Amino acid sequence: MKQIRLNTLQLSSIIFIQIAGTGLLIVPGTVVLIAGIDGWISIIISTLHALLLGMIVFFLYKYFPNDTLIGIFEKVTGKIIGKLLGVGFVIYCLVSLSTVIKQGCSITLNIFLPESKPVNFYIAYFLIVVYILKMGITVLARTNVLITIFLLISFLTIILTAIPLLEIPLKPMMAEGMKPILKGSLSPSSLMNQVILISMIFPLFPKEEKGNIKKVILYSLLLVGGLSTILSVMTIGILGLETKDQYFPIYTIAKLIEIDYFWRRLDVLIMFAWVGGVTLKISFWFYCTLLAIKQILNIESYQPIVLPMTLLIFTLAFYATNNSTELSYYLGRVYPLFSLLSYELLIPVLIFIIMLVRKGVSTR
Amino acid sequence: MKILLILLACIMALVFEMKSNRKEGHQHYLLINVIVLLIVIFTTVIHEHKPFTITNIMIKFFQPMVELIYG
Repeated sequence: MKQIRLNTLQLSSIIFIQIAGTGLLIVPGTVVLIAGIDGWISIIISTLHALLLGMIVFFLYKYFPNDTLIGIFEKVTGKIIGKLLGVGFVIYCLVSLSTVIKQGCSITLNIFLPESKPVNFYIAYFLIVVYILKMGITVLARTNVLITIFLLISFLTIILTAIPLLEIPLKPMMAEGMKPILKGSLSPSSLMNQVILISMIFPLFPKEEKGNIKKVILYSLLLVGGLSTILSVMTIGILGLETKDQYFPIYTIAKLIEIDYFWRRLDVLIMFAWVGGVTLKISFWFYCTLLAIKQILNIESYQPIVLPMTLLIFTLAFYATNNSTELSYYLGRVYPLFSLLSYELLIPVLIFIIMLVRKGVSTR
Repeated sequence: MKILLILLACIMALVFEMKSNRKEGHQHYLLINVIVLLIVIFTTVIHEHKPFTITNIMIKFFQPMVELIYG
């Protein structure tokens, strides 16, 4: 069978969509809620944080180019601890994935199509995800490239046409010190650090462009970080502190844009970006979960378990929260701690340190 | 009602996967599929009797830390 390889464009678009799929639209609201008018500085800090993790991911790739994260766990910590870390990774993916699906469905329902039944969205996302995963990573990667181009054009259009609406100055800067800014950076960090997921597809990275992988990871993170910062500056500059009351501030801005009679209702671009981004994000998360399960159970292919696993994840998502207040509290305050203290920061850093120590000992 | 619908979806998924697995010679995946679908039914039954949710459990677990950080 021919070995599937992604090219650098597909890889960078996967990183972009993985973070920007939900992040670009909700991050400005969550950072302003905690950091106030300095929310955009929180995003810069979280970008730096993500770049650091991006470097760790790159070094893991450099040492283990043919292994996935589960394989790296086993090689670095031994078979038993490696398997346990792998099972933990699957649980982390299931928890995160169920809340991403819930978030995707509830926002589509509450903001775009309030009179529809929620179960319709679950069924629609379910069918698309099953189809994409049955088709494989190549289809997912190509769709990622298409949606990335669309997302970039949409956001650039919105940024350029929203410039005349800017009227609120971003002052006073750091009036309450660095503390709220650092607290505010946790939430975007939990989104940006999802770059760790690409370590599940190390064996699919383009071998002939191995030297460019570092650039691809770092430039993709810089692109998402830069775009998020610009969008936050825009939302704060247009909506001011009202941004924190909006779950979807960019959507509100897109509705405000009006140039003559023909250039209006740009909110449809946001709707498309949200639905496309969420679908691809769910698909990639799910692909990584299936790869992890495949490796832990030592089975040849993940495809025969796609349908039952999708049913499991959508059932978990359906019962993920009791109401949307609980969901937004969880995503804004609890999820950042859960993810950063598990597979998005703590465990990769520990694995990296153990790997360095073991390499040092073996060379000595 | 929800339990019945989930049960129906599980049976449909199982039949569909069994058919395609038999075609591709992957019969040994049946056990994994059955276990996963039993977890699905178990989750639904539990949730219908006690409204546990993932976010609720996580919020309870991380609450002290959230209060410490965000005040």
